[in-house]
Amino acid sequence: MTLGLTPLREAFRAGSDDPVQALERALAAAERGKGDRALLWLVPAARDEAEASRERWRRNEPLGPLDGMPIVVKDCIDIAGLPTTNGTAFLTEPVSTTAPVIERLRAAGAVIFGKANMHEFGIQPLGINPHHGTPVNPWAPDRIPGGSSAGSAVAVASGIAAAAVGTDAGGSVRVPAALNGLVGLKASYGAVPDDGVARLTRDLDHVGPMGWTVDDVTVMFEAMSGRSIDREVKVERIGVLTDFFGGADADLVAAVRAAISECFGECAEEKTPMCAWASAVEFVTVGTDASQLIGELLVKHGPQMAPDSRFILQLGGGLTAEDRRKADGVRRGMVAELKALLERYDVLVGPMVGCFAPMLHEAARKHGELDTATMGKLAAATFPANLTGFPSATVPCVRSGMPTGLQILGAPGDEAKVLAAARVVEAKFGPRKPPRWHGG
Amino acid sequence: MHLPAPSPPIRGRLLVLLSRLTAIPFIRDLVVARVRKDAGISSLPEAP
Repeated sequence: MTLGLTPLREAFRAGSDDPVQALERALAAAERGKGDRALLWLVPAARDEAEASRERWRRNEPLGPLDGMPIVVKDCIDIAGLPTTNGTAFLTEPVSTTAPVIERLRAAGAVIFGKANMHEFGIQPLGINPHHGTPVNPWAPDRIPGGSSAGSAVAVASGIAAAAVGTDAGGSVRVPAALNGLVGLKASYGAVPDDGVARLTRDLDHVGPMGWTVDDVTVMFEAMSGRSIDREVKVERIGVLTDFFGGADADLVAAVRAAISECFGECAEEKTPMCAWASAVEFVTVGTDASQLIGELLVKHGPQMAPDSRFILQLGGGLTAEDRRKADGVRRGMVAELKALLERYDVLVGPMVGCFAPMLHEAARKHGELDTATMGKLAAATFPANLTGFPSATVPCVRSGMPTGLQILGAPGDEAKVLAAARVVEAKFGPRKPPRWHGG
Repeated sequence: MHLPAPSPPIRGRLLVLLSRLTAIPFIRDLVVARVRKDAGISSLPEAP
């Protein structure tokens, strides 16, 4: 395996490479790929961090498996001295503090060198950004990159960064990871601190890692959460979430079902009638929360927002307390439904997305787009994990053509089993390098 | 999954126009009434 953090770490250990050279290659790749709009800002502190890391490796005293790794983070996470645009064109003042999750990554030796482009406010899973340009999907430049953590995924998949951090209130780590052939993890709610992170909702947003391999994502999660993952855990009882295939494209269904069969054999199939309402519940929850959390910005900057963001935020303001009451009730039903299933299964599996990366329409580049059918198809299977706070990972599960991901969903706090199941899938499929590549 | 009822994608100037019009509460509420139906919000079951 040549992609990801492991080969870099081995080269650092052998002395054939070092963190300063790795950073210089990442910056050169960022420059070559500048037109692909993955990154919005470079982090000046990265060079000093890389030099400090190089000294630690020379003394053979690395801080851990992330030491010296060139990483980017989504531009909704605070780094002191740089703006946190949240994908907008108007939040351009530098912030004065750094998010705890960044401090944790730095304490583990990560060299955070860039802030990545995103769908404005993280409000859609498309990754289109009319203000900063839309990050280019390295698998097919005429297709969307997926979002909202689009730049984070594209930076890794096109060879600029070794790994990335995104946020996920409705698939925003896992959709772009799936569409770019990466592993992505949305951990249990509360496992990773979200102070200093611009949020779309009160309790759906999760900060999560994206990388080439399950091990990369595991070491990122360990640093971000302060927890350690038991890599010896085995998964034996696998349930297939049949409702999650509802509305998905036939070619996607065939690919994911074949992957499940190849990786886990014949599995029991389970219905989830409450989770099947996830799209409507997610829309109400995001709409009502975001119209309050971002309401002040909407009043001040509405005309400066991308039309799709403005439209969705305004509609959210029109939803009622009764809409929210019903949505919250279904949400509690979803928690009970998945909890009951996860007493019988180690993990539940299904598709991460309902289609391969859709086409990016020219008109959407300038103003964004609203396509409820595509949006639902793309992200509906991601919503139950956000609405319940249960951990969910995506792992690549095809060997040719456009990438997609198999979703693995586990019980709260049980990331070890989710990642163990992801390793089973990875062992069969593994990472693939896309045709568009800016790395060395 | 209960996905939103298919409706034509909105892009370009139409999206710009709609984003401006829905700043007016009366028009917004008309659109929300339609969305509530199409997105399945009005059909959400009562929790058991």
